[in-house]
Amino acid sequence: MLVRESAFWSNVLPLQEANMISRHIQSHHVDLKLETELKEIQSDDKGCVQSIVTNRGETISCQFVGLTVGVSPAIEFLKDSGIATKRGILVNEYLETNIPDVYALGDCVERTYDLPGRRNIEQVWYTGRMMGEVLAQTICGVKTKYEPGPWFNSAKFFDIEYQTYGNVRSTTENIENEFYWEHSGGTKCMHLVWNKQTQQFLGINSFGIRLRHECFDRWLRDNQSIQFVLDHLKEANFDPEFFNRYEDEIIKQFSETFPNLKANSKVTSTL
Amino acid sequence: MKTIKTVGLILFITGFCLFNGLFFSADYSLTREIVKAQISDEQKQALFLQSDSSLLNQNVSSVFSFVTQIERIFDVVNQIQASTYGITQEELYELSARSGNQFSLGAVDSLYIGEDAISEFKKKAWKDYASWLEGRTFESSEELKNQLQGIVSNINQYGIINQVGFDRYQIKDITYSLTKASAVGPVKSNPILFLLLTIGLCIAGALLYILPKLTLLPGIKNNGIFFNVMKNTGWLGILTGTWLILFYVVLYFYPQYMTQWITLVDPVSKALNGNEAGRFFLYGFIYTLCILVMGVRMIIHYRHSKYQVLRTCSVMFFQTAFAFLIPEILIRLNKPYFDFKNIWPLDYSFFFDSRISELISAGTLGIFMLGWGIALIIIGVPVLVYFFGKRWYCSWVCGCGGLAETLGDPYRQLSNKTVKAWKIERWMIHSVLVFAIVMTAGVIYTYWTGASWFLFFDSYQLREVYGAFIGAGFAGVVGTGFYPLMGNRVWCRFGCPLAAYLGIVQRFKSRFRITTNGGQCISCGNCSTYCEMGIDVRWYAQRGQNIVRSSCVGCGVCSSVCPRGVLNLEVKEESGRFGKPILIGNNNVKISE
Repeated sequence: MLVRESAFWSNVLPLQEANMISRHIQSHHVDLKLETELKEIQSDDKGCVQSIVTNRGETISCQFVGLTVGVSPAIEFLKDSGIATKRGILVNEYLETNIPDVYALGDCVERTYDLPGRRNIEQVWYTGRMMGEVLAQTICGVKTKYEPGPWFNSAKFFDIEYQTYGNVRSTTENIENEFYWEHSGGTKCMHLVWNKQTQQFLGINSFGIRLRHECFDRWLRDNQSIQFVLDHLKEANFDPEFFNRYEDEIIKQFSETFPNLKANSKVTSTL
Repeated sequence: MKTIKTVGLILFITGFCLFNGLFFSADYSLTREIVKAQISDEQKQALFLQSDSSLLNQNVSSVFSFVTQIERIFDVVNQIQASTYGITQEELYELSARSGNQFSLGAVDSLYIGEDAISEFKKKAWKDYASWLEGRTFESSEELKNQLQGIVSNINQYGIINQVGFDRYQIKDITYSLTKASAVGPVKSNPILFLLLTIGLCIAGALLYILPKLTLLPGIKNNGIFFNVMKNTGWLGILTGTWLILFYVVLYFYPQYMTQWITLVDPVSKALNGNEAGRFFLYGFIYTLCILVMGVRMIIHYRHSKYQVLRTCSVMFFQTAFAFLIPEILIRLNKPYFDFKNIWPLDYSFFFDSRISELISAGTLGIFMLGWGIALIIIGVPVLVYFFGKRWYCSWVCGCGGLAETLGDPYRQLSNKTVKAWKIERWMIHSVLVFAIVMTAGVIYTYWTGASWFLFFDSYQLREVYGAFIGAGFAGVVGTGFYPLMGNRVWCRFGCPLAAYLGIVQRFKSRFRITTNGGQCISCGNCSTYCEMGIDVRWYAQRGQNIVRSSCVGCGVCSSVCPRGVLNLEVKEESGRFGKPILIGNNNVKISE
């Protein structure tokens, strides 16, 4: 597998997580070639793929090629339809296009208005579903605005589950502070980001530990502080019964790293 | 690794083929000594030997013809006894003529004046069967005669066979024990060797096939499951199901043909309880081994999940200790056979008079067992289901559940998820529960009053029907035989009356539920696919609603296979247990209920 970046999906994931996932992919015997790009696909005399050549000059023989270089809305067919488009189909908060009774939703849509912390084209399963729910209400007579709550997403990389709530960018911005914990086994980690000045909690990445959507949705809406989130981290655990719990280890490491942000794990439940 | 797997497969198939071959491996030779050892009643023994001696000391090479010939001897004996002891029409006419309009047992005494065995038998039979008519006056002598005609046919049909012939239970038992004792062949002379070559080889082969899975990284690996001829009702699955169905039919209804298999485990049985093995010892032995070996597979398969590992260890422990070893040791100590984790109405014979009498006569331990069994029904089930859900029993303790969760795990995806199946399931399982309750009420009524007629049925007949159709037919033949055809919980889902009872408590009064994680469901459907109880888990998960279903056995596999961490088995306060359908993350959208 060729990856342009220095670690798998590191344009989205912070480097620590990207490295962990890269190692996990390799442990599944996938030959991960980092910082390597595809230069050429070579065919045999029947026009079938025979091998590829990388930008490092290596030739790898193969029977098929899977190309995943990102997605962009395939809307060429709408060119002459009169529907306004830019990179995607332009819609307002009711998912209406410029033509009455024509709506658009999903990967192909480009919002004409901004939502804080969200891109105007969101190619994620959940946003497609949520737009569908909104539009269904509209079509059924209850005109409804598309107003997604705090960002969330999830995925699974071989055996490692991934959940994210709020915004954890691949590189932290100036006003942000971050904390990263990784389990010694190398298949679980947690990455928290907050505002340096206000201590407001901004987002979390969790790998190998399931978290309760309900908790983080509420804490993000309530602009809770990083201390609050750590204090209540145990409540947010969604792992099955009998699973090992890591909150104490995480909180201990956090307190050592940020002594002035001491977390208190004995706070009463908010649920 | 592939080589080890292949070797394992070859060993398993060899052991399995040899096991099947043993079915036909013996010759049968009946001797006078065997008859004397197996038929304890001396009169009946003599009758058996006199009526037909053509089979004695003959070498019969087919079990089928041997059994047929034995059954013919019983027929002949019964016919002879019927003609000797039968009450004739002349006697009936005479008796009714003497009685006029009023029946009296005095008339019987005056009819049979001889003191020979036959007259004595007839006098006693009339007393047993007709004493309830004593002194009754009828409209006409004709009516009295009709009444007596019925009694005569009862005596001739049942009385004679019960007293001086062989009734069908005896025929079945004795045919089985005569066949087992008459067998001559390699298994009998060397049971341990053949035990190792059949079941031993199967275990070794299965483990060699299973253990290389350890080389895969921990995590859900269900790759190619629907292309597998075993796991997607392919030819191998159908073949396996057919074999299992045949095995159960023979085990429950024709044990006389499988004596060679039972002889295999005689040494094990003698070591444990001191007696020769019976068919249910063989069954319990194989059953426990299946749970243990396939439990190893289950643990390896789900070893990333502590919940699954602990749960599997639990069913392995309860089967081995509670269902298999402890009852055998109790027998060795001359105590009643008792499985401390089996609960009525799954254990449908718990209130049968024979078992209650056995417990009552077994002193303090027996009384404790009786109390323990009743406490489990009225306290254990509701209290534990309230705190943990029905999973405490169905997927942590129960033997049927244990087999389903280990041997049956590869078939869990075959359960039907349609709403129609759910409807059928509710009708069926609750009907079986009602059936079990009515049957048991009749049994207890008969125990207290001695009368067999209860409300609208004969309690002896009903318990027999229940035993054959539900106990053996549904729980055994269909319950396990259909693993590769309809999934591993056919019995638990459609038939088990205890599951129905646990389920009613779980549905209406419990802290247990499966929680869905906000809006994280991606509708992939793994949860529904691998739900052995056929619950369409996804339907709940994708609308963000808790799953509260009476059938859920809490195996936790939906949570294990979920790729996005959406499902979790939880016990919390009862309030808000059902939850409202919510999809967190999308303002303005409400799902109508």
